[in-house]
Amino acid sequence: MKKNYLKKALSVFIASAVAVSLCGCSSGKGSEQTTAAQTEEKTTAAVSQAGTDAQETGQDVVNHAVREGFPITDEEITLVVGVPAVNAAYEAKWEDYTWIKELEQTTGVKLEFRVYNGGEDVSLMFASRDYPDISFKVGSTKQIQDAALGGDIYPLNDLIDEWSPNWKKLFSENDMARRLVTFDDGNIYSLPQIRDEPSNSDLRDQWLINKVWLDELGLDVPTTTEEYYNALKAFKDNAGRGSIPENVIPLYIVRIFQNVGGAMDIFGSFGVRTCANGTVTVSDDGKIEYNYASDDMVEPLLYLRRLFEEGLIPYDCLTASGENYTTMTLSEPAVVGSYFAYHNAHPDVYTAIPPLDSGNGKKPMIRSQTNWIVQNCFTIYSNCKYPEVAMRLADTIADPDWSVQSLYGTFSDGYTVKNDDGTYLIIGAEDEKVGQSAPVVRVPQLLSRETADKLIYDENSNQGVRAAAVKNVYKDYSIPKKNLYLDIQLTTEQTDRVSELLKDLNDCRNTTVDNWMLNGGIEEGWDDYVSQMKNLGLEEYLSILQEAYDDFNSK
Amino acid sequence: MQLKRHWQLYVFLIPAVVSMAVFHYGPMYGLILAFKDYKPYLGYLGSPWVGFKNFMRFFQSNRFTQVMSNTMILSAYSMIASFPLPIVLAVCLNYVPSVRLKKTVQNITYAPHFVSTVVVVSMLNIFFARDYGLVNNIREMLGLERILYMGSTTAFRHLYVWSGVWQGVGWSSVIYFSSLSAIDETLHDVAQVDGASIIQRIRYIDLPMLKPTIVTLLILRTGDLLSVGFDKVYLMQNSLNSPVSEVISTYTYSMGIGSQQYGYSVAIGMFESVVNLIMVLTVNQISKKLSETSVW
Repeated sequence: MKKNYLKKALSVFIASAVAVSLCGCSSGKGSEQTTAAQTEEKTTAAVSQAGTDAQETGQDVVNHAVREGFPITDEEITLVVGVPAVNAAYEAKWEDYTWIKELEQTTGVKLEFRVYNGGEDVSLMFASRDYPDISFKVGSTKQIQDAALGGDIYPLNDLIDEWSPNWKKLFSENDMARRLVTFDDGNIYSLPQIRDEPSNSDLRDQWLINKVWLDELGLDVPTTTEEYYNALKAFKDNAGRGSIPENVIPLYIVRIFQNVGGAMDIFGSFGVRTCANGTVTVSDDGKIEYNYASDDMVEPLLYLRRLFEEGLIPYDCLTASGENYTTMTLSEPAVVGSYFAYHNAHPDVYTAIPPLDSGNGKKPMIRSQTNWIVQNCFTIYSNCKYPEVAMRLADTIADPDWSVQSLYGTFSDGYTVKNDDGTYLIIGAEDEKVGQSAPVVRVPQLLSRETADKLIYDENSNQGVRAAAVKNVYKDYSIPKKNLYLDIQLTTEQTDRVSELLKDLNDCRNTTVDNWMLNGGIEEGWDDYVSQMKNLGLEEYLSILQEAYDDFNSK
Repeated sequence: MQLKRHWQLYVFLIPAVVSMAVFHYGPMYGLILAFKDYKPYLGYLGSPWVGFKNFMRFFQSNRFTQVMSNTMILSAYSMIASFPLPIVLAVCLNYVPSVRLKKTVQNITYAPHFVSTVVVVSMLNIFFARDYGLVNNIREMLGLERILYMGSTTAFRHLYVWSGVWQGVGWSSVIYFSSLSAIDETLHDVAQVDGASIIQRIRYIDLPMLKPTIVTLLILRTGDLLSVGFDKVYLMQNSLNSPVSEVISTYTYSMGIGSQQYGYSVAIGMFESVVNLIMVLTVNQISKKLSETSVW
């Protein structure tokens, strides 16, 4: 009797639980449908409303979007913008940037921000299909591909043609950019960020060495790998003398294959072509190459091992984090003799040196970056009621004035100045200060080469120092664009396979190389390593990328 | 009849049952993703079925054996090291005559439980750093060679497990304290009158009284054999120790969540749960046979 009751009670509970959860989903769907329907109604209403407005004012207005001039809407509307998180340590909140406030004021569009803290938040957004109206720099190609297949994203082609002269111009002039952002079905679902600025993309890291110490020791700036080794050794041998501290670190790197501050440029000195994120490059005859398993690597690895073995690079570097790197390299007074960094924060102490001559007859080179274009930076979702306004907003951001200010701080905050001849003076400031004024690289800028050529950097600013180094030191060494593998679209199946293979390959490479740095054994272990990489699917990985690359070039 | 008579009891049961149903049974329909090639725009039901493809992919992947054995070893080691110590701590403290000392020790051993994992791992990083870490400084004073602990495959498991013990021993002993305090004082009095030593009292009174608690916790603990917590391993992981530190949870994270392969991650998660379930059932049966204590 009792048992029966319990059983029944339990089954009722389970049944109701199932029912509840089912209701949960179906009601969710239902409300979605109604909102979609409502949206449509509203849109048509809005369009007809706008139509009458236009008749009254004689202006060309479609769905609240004004075709020319500012504000870009005929009444204040709000767009919900999905954005990546800022670094709260030194950057303002999205709604507090001067640049954003001015953008809102000029365009008449109120922006409401929805911040995504990293990949998980973004994945959740795409998985739950709970979208903002538009987004800046949110989502991967795979996510956007999938969402587009589900009809969740506006194709932008017609909107660009009609509402965005800036982007239309770019795509007609820059065929590479157009092909990179066009999906398989011929549509553009997301605008890129364009920053065709040599001081940024022609170089990844400056190779810095402590000039003060070199002078104290009476050494010349090293030009060959042997001289460099001797300089590092001299730093170590003279620890505690002059301004060289007792606990000197001759060379600081943050792991080997780290994009920022890693040791990959040492490979470049031996003529091994590497790229910023440490994966593949393209050979001169168009073959995709993964150089970290090529025999050319043995020589630079032996060199690097020697630096570790003699204590010129601390072993802690193999497990270092980005924070360790910042603390060590920026410490005052200096404790690091040499390191790799995007900015030279202390140009009075450190000087940028070109990649070194290894004496093996190969031309030394240094990494450059593919980030003159970054895909998936401006997306309009199908629940957005005002796609025309959104596109005009994107067009406004793409305007040179707005793009320059978004990167380097606003005119009004005094970080940038627009000269009468159309050039821009980049006064520059510490990252912390600009981070209060503008969202830097988190919005879909359009900084074409034409605009970039008009930038004049204050020579004492970080970017100014970098620009000078790129121009004077690294110009002949930076790896040309044609040798870089751009982020070409793959099918979702290919993306999945590639990410799996790449994880295995990179893990194997990192573990093996790091172990060699710690314990030696490079020459003995090399063949094993190469065959292990083959077993892990190196060839399959390369052939997938090669196929995509060939397809892309034949388009 | 019974239901009516004891209706108050059933009312008390409702919140627990509802929360179980909503938060544990409800989401289980998501498990069908393990058998599907999930696309958000096609939904749970609309995505195409792929059978056991996701499972096969995991079993056949390059990393399967490595990831499985790492997980099992780490988990088993952690269990063996961290399970008995709270019992020892609780029993020992139980015999400390000074209440003040007892409380102090208790507080000190609880405290680390409230330190967040990120902080614990940072502490490990600092104490065990090769060139300036405390431990290596001591080694150098003793004339020993400096060791890169954080990048060592042999040190990883010890660091992981013993920092976990340090963090958890006080907290886990709470439940044993409460069981010990429930033991009838007269038993101890009688034993003392009979001239039993402290060791004998532990052996014949405390441990037998603790046995049901110990066995129950042990059974539940084996149910987690394949679930090594994610965050600490992930934070401690680097390329040098990854041959031993890549466990199921970190692998799922980087393959599944990181690159949005939901079906694949769910399949791995489901595999993990099934193994855990089998473990619990087996251990439960064994314990039923051997000690007549079991969870159900």
